[in-house]
Formats: sequence, structure tokens, C-alpha cells
Amino acid sequence: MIAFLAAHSKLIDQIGINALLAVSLMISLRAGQLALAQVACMGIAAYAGSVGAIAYGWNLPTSMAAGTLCAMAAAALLALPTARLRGVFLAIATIGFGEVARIVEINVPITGGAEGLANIPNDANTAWIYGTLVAALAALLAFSRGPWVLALDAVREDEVAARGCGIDVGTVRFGALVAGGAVAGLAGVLYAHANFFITPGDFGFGRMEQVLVYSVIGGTTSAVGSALGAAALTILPEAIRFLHDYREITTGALLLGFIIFAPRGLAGLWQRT
Amino acid sequence: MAANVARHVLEARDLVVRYGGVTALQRVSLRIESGEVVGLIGPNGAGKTSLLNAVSGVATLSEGSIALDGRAIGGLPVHRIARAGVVRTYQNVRLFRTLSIGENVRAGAFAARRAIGAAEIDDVLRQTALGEVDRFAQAGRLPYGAQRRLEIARALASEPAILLLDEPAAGLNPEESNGLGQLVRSIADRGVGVLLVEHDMQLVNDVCNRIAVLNFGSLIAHGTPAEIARDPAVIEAYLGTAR
Repeated sequence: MIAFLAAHSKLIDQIGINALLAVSLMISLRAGQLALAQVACMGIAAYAGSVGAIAYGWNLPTSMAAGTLCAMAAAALLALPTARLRGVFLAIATIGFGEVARIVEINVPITGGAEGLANIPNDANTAWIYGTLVAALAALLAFSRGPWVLALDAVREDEVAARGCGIDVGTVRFGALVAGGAVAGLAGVLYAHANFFITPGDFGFGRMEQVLVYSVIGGTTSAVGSALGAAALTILPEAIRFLHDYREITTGALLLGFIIFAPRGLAGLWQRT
Repeated sequence: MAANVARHVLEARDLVVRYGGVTALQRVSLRIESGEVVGLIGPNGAGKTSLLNAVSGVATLSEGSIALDGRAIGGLPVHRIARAGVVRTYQNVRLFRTLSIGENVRAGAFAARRAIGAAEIDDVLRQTALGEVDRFAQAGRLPYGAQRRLEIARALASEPAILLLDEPAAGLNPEESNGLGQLVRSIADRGVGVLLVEHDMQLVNDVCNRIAVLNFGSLIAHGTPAEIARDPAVIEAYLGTAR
């Protein structure tokens, strides 16, 4: 068992980070906001935390705090001008923001450009990653007992009726996007500190697309479902190596299968209908 | 009505709502007090829903003022008007369909800025003749008539001073409609002021203290059900002029 975990520790760490990203997207989707800037927030946090760690010798908690604050600031800046956008229009605007962030990361000197940033302290171990994931899930669970999660649900279901119930839709939406940015920021700093080096290409639309697939397969409104979706799809490519060239097709087929036959995703196994 | 219940007055003055070049409401004034049901009737397109939208903040007021207990609420955002105590239902039922029945009621309590527990949810559901339903069931799966009542239950959880009902009997059978009438009357008797937009004249005559009649965006008559039934302007609006 120990030998197995040691041999696959990189994969296990990756599962934890991807699960955080899926949870981050889930917070937006729970409020009905198809905002796809989580990977951009992840990248901003990864660069902020790494630059601080390399230049000023920040330890991991400091990097995580600073990176996460930067990610939240980015999410807040993005949430304000897109306040009236919904659905695919919000998706397009937020994808655009991601591309802008990536291009800035390629072109400003402080990020090391397309070559990336190396020599990031390799201090984010499995315990840190899973500790963060458990803390994020626990925080969401604690919130789900109070009024906040019900407000997110109400806004997702019907914004007009939510307003009529005295819910300030703008504030709820803003809070959801910033909270999602925070979780993505944590994932970003952990990713950088677990991988030794980062490049702008790590935070492109390709990864965002993967996170969206985790969410659809895991369940778009369930934190635990999203995390499980991330785990399943991070393991899947490793488990089906024997398929060689056909490997890429399986994800697409699986996604299609879930959309048609299990639209609630893995969370449909336990969510009440 | 209990003497210790706080009295509320909604006073709308000279409301004008324009959509582009179309004037949907032309200087309409209306007063609703605690404990009374005011019926709002008129032919299709007369501006009934526009008036409800204007009072609840959904439509932007071009002119006019709205005050609840002397406090101006005209032009406030919808959620602030709801928190002030003016709560509505919708012509096309707008429930949180995938949420549970209980969660729908809990969401209503947001407007009263409080959290309600299981006992209170059951109490509100009983008041709206939904005492038998499983409050963990999905709201969207209720039969249509029950969805209409759940929407009213959600509004009651907001502890409204003034309740605006937009055609609550639409699509109900006569028996359900009759039950709804009793429900509306009981809500008013507990000290809520109710504005009832409705086409079902039987229902309007049964439960309303006063009736206001809109036609082409203007108030053409205002009075008790008996006065309205004799009013020549109302008869003309509904039936046309005699030749």
C-alpha cells in the first residue's frame, strides 16, 4: 500500500489539485454562473506565490495567502464589469479574461515569459494538498447549513424570484465568483509548489476545459461530486494506457454518456431527486 | 383582527410606466391597507401586471411615488422592496423548481431577514393547505394548483405587510379557485394588505373589499364590488358601448 502510494504520489497530488479546481468551478455553477476563469485565477495565484517564494523566500503558507488574495482580487475585478452577463455570454467573457491573463504571463518579465518560472520551492506535499482540499470541503459543508448556500441555489434557479425573496442577487453572485477565485488560487499555489516549475501554458483554456468536464461528470452543484469527478478523470488516462491512440476518445465518450444518461453526474448517485 | 397587529399602508401616487414609446400606466394612484383585499381588474393589456411590476420594483417607474407606511420605496431595487415588506407572486409560477418545498419556504424568509426552522415551515405550509405534502420533495414536481399555493406560502414566509398576487387562480379548477379565495381572505384577516389581480370575477367579488379597474393604462373606476358592477365606464370597457 505504502509502496503503491509512493510510486503514484505525483498522480495523487494532481488529483487533489484538480479536485480543488473542480470545487472552485462548482461554487460558480451552484450560483448558476457559467464563469470559466478559475484556471486564470489559479495561474495568477501560482505566479504571485512563486515569485514571492523565489525572490523573497516566502514559505508555503505565506505564498498560499498572498497568491489566494491575488486570485480573489482578480475574480473581483472580473466579476464587476461582467455583472450583467449570464450563460454563454459570461462564459465567453471569462474565457477571454483567461486568455488575456495567459498572454500577459508570456509577455511580462517578472513571470519568466514563455520559458516559465523554475526553482519554485518544492514544499507542497500530499498532506498540504489534501489538508487544503478537506478544509475547503469542510468550509462549504459548514456554509451549507446556513443561509448562504440556499441563496446560491435560489439565484441559480430563478434570479427574478430570488430578488422577490429579498436576495441581493448581485452580492450573491459577486461572493460566489470571489469565493471560487479563492479556491482556485489555493489550487494554483499548491500546483506551483508541487511541480517545481510553471509556464503560462499550464493555465490555458485546455485545463479549463478539463475542469469543466470534471464538473459535468462529478455533478455541477455538488462539491463532493465535483471532487470525485476530478479524481476519476485524473486517474482515467493512467488506467487506460493500454488503449494507446484511442485514449483521447474515451473522455469524450464518457462525457457524452454522462450528459445523456446521468445529467446530475456522479452526485446523482446520492442527491435526492 | 387582533388589535396589536401593526397597521400598514401602501400608497402609490400618479404612477407612470413607459416602455419605449408605449405608456403602460398613465397616472395611476392606489392605496392598500392592512386587512383589506383590493381587486385589480381590467381587460387584457390594461396594465394590471405593469402596475404590479411597478410596485414590486420589477418595472422602472417613469414618474410617480410609492410609499409604505410613509417611507418611500419607489425606485428601490426589487430585493430592497421585498425586504421592506412588499412581496409578490407571479402570473407564471416562479418557484425554485429543483429545490425542495421546504427550501422554497425558507428562501421566502430571506426577505424578513431571518432563518426559519422545520416547525415554522410546516406552519406556513399548513396555512396554504399544503400540510400534507412532504417538505423534502422537489417543488417542481407538485401538481400545478399546489405550486400556486407554495408560491403564496413562500411569500407568507417573507412576513409581508403588503402581498401582491398576480392572477393566482389562473389555471385552477372551480374547487381550487374557491379554496384560494378563502386563503386570500384569511391572509388579509391576519393583517396583510392584499392586491389581487384576477380575471375570475366570482373570486374577485367574493373576497375583495374594494375593486380598482384599469383600462388602457388608466384607472377608470374604483369602489366596492357592488358599485363596480353598476359602473357605466366599467361596463363599456368590458362590453363596449350600446348603439
